[in-house]
Amino acid sequence: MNEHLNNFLIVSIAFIVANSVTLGFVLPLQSLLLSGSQLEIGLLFLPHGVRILAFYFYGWRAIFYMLPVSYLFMLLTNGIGAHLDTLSPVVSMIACYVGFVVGSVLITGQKKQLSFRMWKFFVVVGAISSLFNGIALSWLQHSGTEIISIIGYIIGDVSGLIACFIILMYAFRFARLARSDEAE
Amino acid sequence: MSSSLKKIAQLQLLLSEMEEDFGIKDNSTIEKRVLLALADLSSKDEAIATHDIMNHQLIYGFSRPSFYRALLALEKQGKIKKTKSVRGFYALCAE
Repeated sequence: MNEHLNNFLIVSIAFIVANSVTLGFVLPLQSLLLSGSQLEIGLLFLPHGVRILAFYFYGWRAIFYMLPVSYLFMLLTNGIGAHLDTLSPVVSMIACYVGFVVGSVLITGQKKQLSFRMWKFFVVVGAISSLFNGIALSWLQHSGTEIISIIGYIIGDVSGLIACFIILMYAFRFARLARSDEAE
Repeated sequence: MSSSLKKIAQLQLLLSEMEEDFGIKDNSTIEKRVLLALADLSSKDEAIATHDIMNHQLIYGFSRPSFYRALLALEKQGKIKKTKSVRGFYALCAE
């Protein structure tokens, strides 16, 4: 029970941080620079990186760890003018997870032919997961698959995932170098 | 606990691979500082004297042997070069 609570806290905090940066910085910038874009589709969606890592480390349980925060930010996003469906967090999480599993099976099945670095594996699986997410959300929001929306979701999710990983890389690097500076 | 350590290790591996592929891995602190000091002192096509780099505020506190080891390591990595005209001068390599 403690382990699940710890996992829930870790994933929730990471998800809150990623969503906060997206909602508080990326979306306002997006609406400023691209006034014609829909707020339901973030073009740099950092939480997708947290989602993919959470699925990798915690499996299907990550869906339940992330749902409460997803709903919180759905409400906040709708508060700034978006029109997200009430079911969108659930649909998105399940679609992302299914896409993650399908992508993982496809990539690991090709492992003999392809030499994949871990981060590249995550980017490819994240893109496949985003495709499933885009189709599901497009169907939910627009009652049909809109190609432009799906492309928007994929661009936002993959760029957000890469940005998330780059931020993590520099954050860990900064912490490591700060520790080595202190030691000197 | 071992499961948490394994997750941390996997995350570190992921990020370490990224650093390596992005070309920013294994620059020790002093090497990074020598590179930054040289960049700070350089303008385009200008070579900087070794003693000027060593006296830069970023290099303060490091020993002479450590400094010269860092210079040698950066030269081997192709990040800096000795200028051919005058001895004891270095310049950043073009990327």
